[in-house]
Amino acid sequence: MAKESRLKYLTNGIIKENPNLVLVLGTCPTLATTSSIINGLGMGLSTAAVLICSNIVISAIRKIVPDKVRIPCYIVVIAGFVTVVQMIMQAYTPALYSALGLYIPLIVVNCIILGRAEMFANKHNVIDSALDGIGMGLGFTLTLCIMGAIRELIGSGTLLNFRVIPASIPGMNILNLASGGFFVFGCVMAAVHYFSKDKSKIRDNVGEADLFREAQDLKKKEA
Amino acid sequence: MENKNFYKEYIAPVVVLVAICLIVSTALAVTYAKANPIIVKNAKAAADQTRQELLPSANGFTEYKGKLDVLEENKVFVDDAYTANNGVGTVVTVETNSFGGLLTMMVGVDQQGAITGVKVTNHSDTPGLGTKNWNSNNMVTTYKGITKLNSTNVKDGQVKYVSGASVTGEALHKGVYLALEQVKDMGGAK
Repeated sequence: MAKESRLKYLTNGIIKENPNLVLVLGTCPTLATTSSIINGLGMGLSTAAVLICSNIVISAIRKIVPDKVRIPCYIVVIAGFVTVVQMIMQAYTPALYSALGLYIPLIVVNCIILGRAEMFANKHNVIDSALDGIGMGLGFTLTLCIMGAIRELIGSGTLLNFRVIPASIPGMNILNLASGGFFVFGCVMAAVHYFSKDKSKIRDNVGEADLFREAQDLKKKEA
Repeated sequence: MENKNFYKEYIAPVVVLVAICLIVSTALAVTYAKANPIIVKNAKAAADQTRQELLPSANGFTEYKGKLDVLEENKVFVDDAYTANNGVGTVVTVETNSFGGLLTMMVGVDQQGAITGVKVTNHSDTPGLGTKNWNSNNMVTTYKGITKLNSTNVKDGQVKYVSGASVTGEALHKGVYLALEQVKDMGGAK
């Protein structure tokens, strides 16, 4: 049972409780950094690294942190990890750092990280919190990569900077802008909800609608 | 009993928060000590590469040790200037106040005093809005070949394509103006 629930913690974040598409957290970096796959992947992995580390530390210190100061303590821990990630990126991946630049410090205020700290790491042990961090991080990275792929392909005609659509066909520039990001976000969210929703419920709903329509028709006939 | 409550209520939160801050600060100091030398080295290599891009025929650069110009105190000023060892021109690094704070740009000027290129190397402006000024070819290449800017006012119409509608465009214009002034003060490009 314990193993099953641990597997659940790991897989929950990927589709069922995907932080972006189901919980609708971290929308700002999602829209801002998904103009290409590389940017999405970089942002996703750096957020995942901070999420996993902060989940582990917050879970480890949960018993010694007084309730009154828990939020400032979490923020200090999260800000510390973000600054470490920022310095490492600046030193070892300067190209990615300059592409993401402004959005890296904003990971501190990413709702996903503080949300998981408060909702999960605060109440579970270190291993479970680490698994939750990995699952949520994977879900976030996956969403950013999918959105980046769609926007890069349709907006610029390339995938991972390789030209896929001939240059003679101009890309839809709007997908490179925030408005295009919103559109793709909506489409991906709708697709995930459609495929992950319990279909029997959908059929029930359709059944009710049909009954309502039949009742309306009967009323009309009687009239 | 009262003492225990007082400790729990007032002392423990402060002690825990201070302890966490100290541990995080120590971890940051250690990371900084490891990462900073590499960051500085990367920045220097990137600056050297940009200078070479702006003046491709230069065979190395020497830093200018004389007076550096200031247009507006702490807002628009020359950070450094490097002259090409074979005298093909000068590359001036200017810090200019833009929408998100100081923007760093490099301006290459050849022997005849004409601009060979402008490149933004660091900024905090909104990506996709102000940055269009240097991502779009027209905006930056439009300064190429210019030997003199009439004024710091971007709206005087001298430079085609730069309307001054964004703060970034205005900042770029002032930066280019100051770079040309610096080269003039250095006795012109040699």
